[in-house]
Amino acid sequence: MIIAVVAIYLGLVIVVGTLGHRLFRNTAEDYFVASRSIGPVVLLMTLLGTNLTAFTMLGASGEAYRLGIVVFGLMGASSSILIPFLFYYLGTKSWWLGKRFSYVTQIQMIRDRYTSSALGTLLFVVVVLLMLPYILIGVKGGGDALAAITRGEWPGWAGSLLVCGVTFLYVTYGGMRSTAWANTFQTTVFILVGIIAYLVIMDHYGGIGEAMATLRATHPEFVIFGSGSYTVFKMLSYLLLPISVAAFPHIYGHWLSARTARSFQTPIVFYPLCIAAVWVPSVTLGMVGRIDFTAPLNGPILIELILAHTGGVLAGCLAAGVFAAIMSSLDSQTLALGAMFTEDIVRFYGFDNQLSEKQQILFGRLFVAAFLVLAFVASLFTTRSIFELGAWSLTGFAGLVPVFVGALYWKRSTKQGATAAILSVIGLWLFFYANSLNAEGAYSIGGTGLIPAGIIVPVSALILILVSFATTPPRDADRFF
Amino acid sequence: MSQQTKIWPLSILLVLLILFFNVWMWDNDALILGLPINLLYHIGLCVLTTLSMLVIVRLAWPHHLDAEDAE
Repeated sequence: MIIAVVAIYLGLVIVVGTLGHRLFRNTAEDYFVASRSIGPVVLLMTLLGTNLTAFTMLGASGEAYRLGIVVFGLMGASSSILIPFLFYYLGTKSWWLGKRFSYVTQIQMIRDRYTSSALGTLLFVVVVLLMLPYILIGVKGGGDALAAITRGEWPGWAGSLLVCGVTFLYVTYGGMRSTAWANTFQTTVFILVGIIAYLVIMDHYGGIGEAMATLRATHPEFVIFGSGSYTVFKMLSYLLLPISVAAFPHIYGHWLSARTARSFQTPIVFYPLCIAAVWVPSVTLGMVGRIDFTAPLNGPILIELILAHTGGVLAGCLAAGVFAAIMSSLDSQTLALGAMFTEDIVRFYGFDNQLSEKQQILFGRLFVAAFLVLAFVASLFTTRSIFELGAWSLTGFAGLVPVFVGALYWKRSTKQGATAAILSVIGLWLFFYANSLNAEGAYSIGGTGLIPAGIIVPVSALILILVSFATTPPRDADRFF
Repeated sequence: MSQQTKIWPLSILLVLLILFFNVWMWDNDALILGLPINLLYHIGLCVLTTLSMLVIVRLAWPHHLDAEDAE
């Protein structure tokens, strides 16, 4: 039954994704940014689906099972506040510049803004290296989830292969439009699956009130934030992780695909509510898992709850929901990398910007296929420790945000300042990561609770400012403001 | 562009971030409507952010972007 539900779901994703190809215009701009034609509702859903990964469905409930309700504040509420402002300030202006200068990648914008191909290439290398573990987490996560839901009946590699195979079909076929349409369908599925799972499982515990009252009696520390465990300082440093969204190449690609600036209004207004709709079921279910389950668990707590309290159909729906969360990010990530390799490397260096539309589309498709094959093969040899790299990936992206803010809003920022800021991110990231290996992977500086982003982001901003003031102002920046 | 993009929405962001740190109730274990009070508070904050963004897009929208788009 589980596999039947998953098969039906994947079939529907392929149908929705390939429908997008019917409007395909055979241009690189159409393949990479859907000819800048995406309307407000699809933009909201595709941005939401791209941002939310399997972590939101399985990881957040797992963290809530471990830590309690504070997880919603640390990761859910913080992003619901910050991300709409990033869309408002950075998304709209990025879209405006993209449309004005025909950009399809963020590297093109940075190269143009700072008139430096070397700076663009440096940023390209950093972004690609930060993206790879992120992609791998999705592919590996899909396999692990299917194996856990089927209790090992289906091996992990089969789930990873399904995730890569279906994504390959609709991304290479239809590009950004197919990706956005498929994401809209997939985001709807995982929101609905989360809500249905919440209602069914809570009913088993006599409703949310009964479940929380039981939890408060048995695990009182789970229903509070706990001033003994959390400080304002620690929470403040966690606020820096969601800003990484502003440096994601896959989010940038979706920004550029918007039809008008006004298309951003719907995502800006409704994103916080959507975050609550996704995170509240996930976090509360994870907490409720504490009532009946004790560590060590056989698999993710959400899967344990569903297998224990419901039938195969809901387990199949959960598997579909997990696949939805994974593929709605994986498609955008591989498409963004395909665009970057095609436009920023092959076209820029190999063909002196002279590459036909058909050749650009072909290269884009080949790179998307290559990344998916690479990710699948790598997932076969990867241990779960790769999941720890997820937080480190976000840390690196967060450190790059000052560079983008400077490029978009500070005319005085210079290429030397941006280069120094990126180099500081590389240096500090490597330093903190190496230190974490000595501290058994702890994602905290010296056990203080302060996360590395709390240092990397302010230092990156400071270096951008200081070096920019110390160097000659850019001469050709007016057209960006 | 930069001159026409409003700065005042950042003050709303600041207020929301201050409200985010509800330290005065972090140890309160009361349940309201069946939910822990801290969870309910942060859900309320999500609703407040939505209302705030509604005000911002109405009063501080960068209309020049739309105008240029129509040209």
